[in-house]
Amino acid sequence: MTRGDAWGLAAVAAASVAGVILVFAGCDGSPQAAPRPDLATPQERELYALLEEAFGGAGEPRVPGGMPVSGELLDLGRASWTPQCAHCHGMDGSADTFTARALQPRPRDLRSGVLKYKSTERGWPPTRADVLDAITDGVPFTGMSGFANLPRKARESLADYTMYLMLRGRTWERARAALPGKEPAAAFEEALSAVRERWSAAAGHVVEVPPAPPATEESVARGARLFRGERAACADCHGTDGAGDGPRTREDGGLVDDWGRPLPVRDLREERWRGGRDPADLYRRVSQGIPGTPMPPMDGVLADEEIWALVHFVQSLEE
Amino acid sequence: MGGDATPSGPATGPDERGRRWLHRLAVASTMVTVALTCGLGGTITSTEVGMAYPTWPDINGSSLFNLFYFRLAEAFGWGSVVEHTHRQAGMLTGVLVMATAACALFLPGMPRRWKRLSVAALLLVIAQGLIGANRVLANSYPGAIAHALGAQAVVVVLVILVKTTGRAALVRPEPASAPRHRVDRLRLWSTVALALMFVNLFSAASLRHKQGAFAGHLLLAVTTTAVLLFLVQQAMTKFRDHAAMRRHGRQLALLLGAQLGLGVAAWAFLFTRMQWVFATDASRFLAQSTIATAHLLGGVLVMAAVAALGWEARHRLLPAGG
Repeated sequence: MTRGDAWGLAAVAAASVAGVILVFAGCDGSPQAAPRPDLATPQERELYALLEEAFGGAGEPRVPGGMPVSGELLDLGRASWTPQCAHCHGMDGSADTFTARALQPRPRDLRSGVLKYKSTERGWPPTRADVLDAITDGVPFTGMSGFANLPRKARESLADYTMYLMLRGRTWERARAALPGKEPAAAFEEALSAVRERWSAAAGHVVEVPPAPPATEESVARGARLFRGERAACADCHGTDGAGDGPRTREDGGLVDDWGRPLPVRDLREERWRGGRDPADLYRRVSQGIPGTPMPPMDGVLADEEIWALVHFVQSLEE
Repeated sequence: MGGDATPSGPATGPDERGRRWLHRLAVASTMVTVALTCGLGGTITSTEVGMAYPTWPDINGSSLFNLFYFRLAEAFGWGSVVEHTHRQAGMLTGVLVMATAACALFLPGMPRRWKRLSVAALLLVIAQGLIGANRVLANSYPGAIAHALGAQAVVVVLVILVKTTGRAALVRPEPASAPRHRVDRLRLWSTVALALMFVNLFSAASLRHKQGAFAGHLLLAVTTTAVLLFLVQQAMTKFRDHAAMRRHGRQLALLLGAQLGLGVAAWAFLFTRMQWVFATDASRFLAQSTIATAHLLGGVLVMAAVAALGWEARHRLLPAGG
């Protein structure tokens, strides 16, 4: 090796080490900032300033007092959110990302505060425990993977940050809706109080699943009659055999979800239970419906044992 | 790529039919790996659909052999189709490399070096499958970066296998007019270039997976370019009388030029105001992901060219006087 080669090698080695250091040192893992919504009027701009004052601006998340989540882990949650969640859900939880557009079902717009699979009664927000479960276990047969591999603290922080995005999103939407005819400060206070009250009370509205009776031929047959009958009307969407080809799927271009996106009806013969396949999970879904979709709650329509009969029939459909 | 060039006559080589089959399989494996597996893998990262299926080896409960693309797209979105096709291409690579290894191991008269290279390629492909699985199941970004590095290692081993089983490898090498120290220098710097490309690839993969900064990739890209230009200059001017070396130098120069162009384009359309020349989100997304994927494929081809040049320098280049 000549002296020139030795110098060359030394230069290449130095540049490589410097390059690798720069790769790690120059990136804090959070290149994106949450986009600001379009603010058309001075009132909306004032309202948004109030929102940022209460919930923090880009990079400084915080939650107002009285909310069902503490602010202690929010910084860690935001740091974990960027690499783990932002590519699908976006920095602001809007799920308006390129990855999201490539997925079916579309990742949840968390600002809506809607989780399809949760433990609370219909109309009530999810609890923090529901969010943590979704983060830990994921949603089977969708792009939402589980993060059980992450340390408990990281998952807790992600649950807090997800709750934060939902609370912030709900407060903004409610305040914006209340804005016409109100001062921005009044609209904001009204929205913040409503969100605080409702989301804090959600834990008291967890669905109590009654003990499951044993599945028998009679209960399956009863479930089949209910499934195809007019009271439950499950077959309208799911079809008489549960194939997801009921008459409503053919009306006006098929079913859509609350965001106006086409919604394929589940083929119940396939074992693709996104919300869990335990009998209690199925009971909860039949009883409370699925938020954000046309799947209605049967609570109040059917008695407990009738709901269990439906669960038994649905379980019997699996091929 | 170890060992000095040693003349070898055609009469002492392995069974010609077996060699041809091994060579064809190695060529097919290389082409499938570069075009399909790396190309689709790059597309997945560019379009950020790597987690379209968080399951492995099944696909959200469906079989890996599912070819009903329209149904997949309808059920899981078009991102799943890209990921699905990448997994099928990976399987095709696996089958071809298995056949290559079987050919090298079980046909009579195959040199030990071919067997070792074939087995190395097979082990790397198996490792790639497992790393890819870990990347998905654990949603691991380090796993994604390791997956990118592993893919290029597979390409390098396959390129060396293609070169070493080629007909030209059986012909006695012609001595160049260059003295030994120039040959040694070329060998040294081709090895350095290959190692440097892996370091640069690490920086590129880190950048693409949002785990690393652009400045690191830029510095490493500039350093790699300087070393590759030096390699091209050496191959084309110091070994002017060696046809194969001239050809390798020319190929590397062309690929490097294209890769630099793509790198500048990727920077301009991903990191500067140039991205706003596209009127719609969709057209911007398409352009950005296409350029980024082309830049990745350019990197794979430059890596392959460097590996080929390095092999030629080590095994087919004799200094003046033998």
